[in-house]
Amino acid sequence: MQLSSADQRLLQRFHDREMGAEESVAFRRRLENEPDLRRGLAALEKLSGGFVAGREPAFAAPAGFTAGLLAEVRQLPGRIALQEAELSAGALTLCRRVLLVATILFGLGLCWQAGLFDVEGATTLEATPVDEVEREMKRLDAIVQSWDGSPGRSR
Amino acid sequence: MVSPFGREETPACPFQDGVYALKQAPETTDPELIAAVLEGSESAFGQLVDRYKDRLFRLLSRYCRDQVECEDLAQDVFLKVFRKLDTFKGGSAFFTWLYRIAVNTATDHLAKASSRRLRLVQDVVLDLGERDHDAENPDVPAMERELAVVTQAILGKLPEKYRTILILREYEDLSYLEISEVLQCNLGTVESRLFRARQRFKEALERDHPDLVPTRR
Repeated sequence: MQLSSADQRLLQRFHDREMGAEESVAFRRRLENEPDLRRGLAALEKLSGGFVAGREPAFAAPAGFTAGLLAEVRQLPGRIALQEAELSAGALTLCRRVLLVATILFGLGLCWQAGLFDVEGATTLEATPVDEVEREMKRLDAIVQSWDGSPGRSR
Repeated sequence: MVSPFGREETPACPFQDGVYALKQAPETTDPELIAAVLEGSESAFGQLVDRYKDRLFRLLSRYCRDQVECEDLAQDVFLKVFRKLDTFKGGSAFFTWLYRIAVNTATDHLAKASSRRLRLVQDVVLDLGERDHDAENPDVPAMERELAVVTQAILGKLPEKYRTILILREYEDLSYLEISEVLQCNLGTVESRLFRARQRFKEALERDHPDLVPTRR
């Protein structure tokens, strides 16, 4: 029978010794009564077996590692100088970014000024002079009146 | 000459005042050593390194192809520790902070070397096989040796987050709480990621080495 996901997670916690005392006792009781659970635990333990067998580290610190490291550390600038260097590096990066943004904005401004971004019909809106408007109104009135007086046109 | 430890050093005999002086007080705790390093004690830093170098090498062994690479990474990690020690707040154990730096350094290193990653994994398998063969111990069953080699090979092929959590749990035997401190995630995430990592591991084992798959039947 397939174990449920919840039981598999419980198995994992039991296997990893992550259960509290009470929970662990209760789970042991279940293990005694449920063969599937026991088989699941055995499989998990076997899976971990490969790791356990390979726990021996492949590489080890050589003799004189600490002395060599301290010699490297001695080549570093002092702690305060290190902090100052990090701070000034950060400030330099910030300045570079600000300068870059300013340059881009300046360039965009120049292009705008040069009219490179003008779109036809989306420029300035100018009002028509008053007398021209009146002339136009009169012309339209005349057209309307001519329609009213024309034969064959009735309400 | 002013050393990074913030005081005058005599280059000819830098350890005259005793790098290992603090070793005489084995009860010195990590926070005490860290405080001493921050005050400029070289010997305290030496003792911290001595205290944790073996654990660090053991962890980095899981990410490295050879001894030189492992030494370089370990040195890199300890130099970062020295530089960043003032940012360690002491909210967790020092070793989990050290492990965090080590895991990040190792995964960055692997990401940079990703183009030769396949070669790396293959080499590790070959190396392990050869090493095991050379140092063949009749007390260790052949099946167990094979399983260890295969385990390492499969681990190398898993996505980084699954590989790291399996390394921390299975090889380093860290608790869920310690893993959560190293990976800076919550306990639920550790549990579910570990569960998924084991599933992925098992799937890979079933696919590549069905004869080694543990069965529940």
